[in-house]
Amino acid sequence: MQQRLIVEGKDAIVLTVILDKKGIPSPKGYHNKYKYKTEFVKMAEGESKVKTVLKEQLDSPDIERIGIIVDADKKGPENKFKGLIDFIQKETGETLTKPELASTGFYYQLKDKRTIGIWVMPDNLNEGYLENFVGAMIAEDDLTWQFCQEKVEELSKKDFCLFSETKTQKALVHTYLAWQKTPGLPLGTAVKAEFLSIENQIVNNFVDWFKNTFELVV
Amino acid sequence: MIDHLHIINFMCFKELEIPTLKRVNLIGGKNNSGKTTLLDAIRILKSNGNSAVVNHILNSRKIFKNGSDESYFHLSNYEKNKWPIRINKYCIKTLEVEGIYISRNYKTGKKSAFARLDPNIFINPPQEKLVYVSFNSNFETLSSLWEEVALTKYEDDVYEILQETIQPDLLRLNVGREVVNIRLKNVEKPIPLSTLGDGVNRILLVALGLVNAKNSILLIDELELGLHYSALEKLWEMIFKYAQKWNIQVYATTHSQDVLNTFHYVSDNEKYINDAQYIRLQINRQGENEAILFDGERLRKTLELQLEIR
Repeated sequence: MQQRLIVEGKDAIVLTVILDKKGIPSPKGYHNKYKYKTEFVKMAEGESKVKTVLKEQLDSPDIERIGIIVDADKKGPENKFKGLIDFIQKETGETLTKPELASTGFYYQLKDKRTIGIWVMPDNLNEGYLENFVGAMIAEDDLTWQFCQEKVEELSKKDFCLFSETKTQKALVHTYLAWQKTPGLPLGTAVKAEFLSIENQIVNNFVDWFKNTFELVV
Repeated sequence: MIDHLHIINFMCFKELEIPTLKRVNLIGGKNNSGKTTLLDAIRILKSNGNSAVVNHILNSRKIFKNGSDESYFHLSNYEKNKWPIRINKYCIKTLEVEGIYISRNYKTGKKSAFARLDPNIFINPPQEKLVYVSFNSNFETLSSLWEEVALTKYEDDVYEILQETIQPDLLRLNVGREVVNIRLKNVEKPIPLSTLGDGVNRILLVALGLVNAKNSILLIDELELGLHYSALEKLWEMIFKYAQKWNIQVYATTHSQDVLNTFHYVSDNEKYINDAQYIRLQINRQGENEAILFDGERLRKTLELQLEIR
């Protein structure tokens, strides 16, 4: 039995670090770290590449569980989710009933017992990206965080501001990381260094979604 | 060129349909997924069920029992040859030979031919030309392929293909017992071919296969055996170029990622992309035989993302 985690974007590491810190075991057969990184986790930049990866996993007779993590973007979770469901229906020939949006993520079991889990960043309910999910790992009353928000907003109003509006959250998160005790750590390392906290509801929902998708018992 | 295959009840295949075949077909899949069996099916199809070919297949699979009729049952997927074996393709001509059955294709309405292997009516119909090289039985095949072309005008084609792909200053070639000697320009004495580098004997094997397979089909079993990946790119360049030039359809089996990668590198251009197809054989979730087809574009997309498609 093989399993796959498909992640839209370049930064799956932060998610695997979160799972590791939460004490979630690797899915069965992926305890070797290299195998986990290269075989279990598949990163794909952009929606069309996510679909390319997904198609190959659906065509393989060996893969029983697939977890898909995508960004809601500006399109919103509903559209992003529908795009994936339509694609899965087209590839498998199965009609899937559309569930309500829920903060806990989505699951499907196909007729042949394959499990497909879908998580739409940040929380299955709102527009946004991985960076919004990471933003939720910073306490609202963190003074550095509040200061960063002020400064990034101030900069975004200047005519020499280089980043576009859609990248504001990304700029904000990385500004925050730039101003920590060890400045400029990448997301995954920042979680390890506990600059980002794993104790919050969104992270817990995500961890539960992962556990359910890959049937992991802690 | 065969452009479609439908195999029913043949060895490990209950039923396998391959709707599209290209000029150069690379076949992958797990052990026992039927890679070699697919080549065997094509051999039987093109030989119209000739018993020499069938016996060779049975022999190489070590299931031949002193030529008894029982042996033929092993070719069937079902017990005791309950259903006839069918291997068919789109075929406009009608073969009116006993033991060759004609069926109508349900999709196109075209008539198809299939060989029925039934020991009771077993006959030896005329064979169509086809070349089969196995990297397992290397030297034996090599010398018999050489014999076919030695001292004929096709010998010149062998020199052309070798000069273009491995050794520009090669003049002559001689296949002796267990050794191939060559003569190079400005070198007085013959030297063994193997001094030209690793795997060059196998490149020669494929070159001879191509020369012998003009306007026909070349089958290569287990392409990766004994070949370093640096030799593979050369080999594919040779296969694509001469398959096009001499109107040859090629089927090669492999387990190797290197073979798959180099197949893609060489074919991913305007000249060859429409000639290339990778076919993965597998048993699907319903337990049926299935062929997953990768044209040039799908191959590019998946290899770029480093996805496992073997």
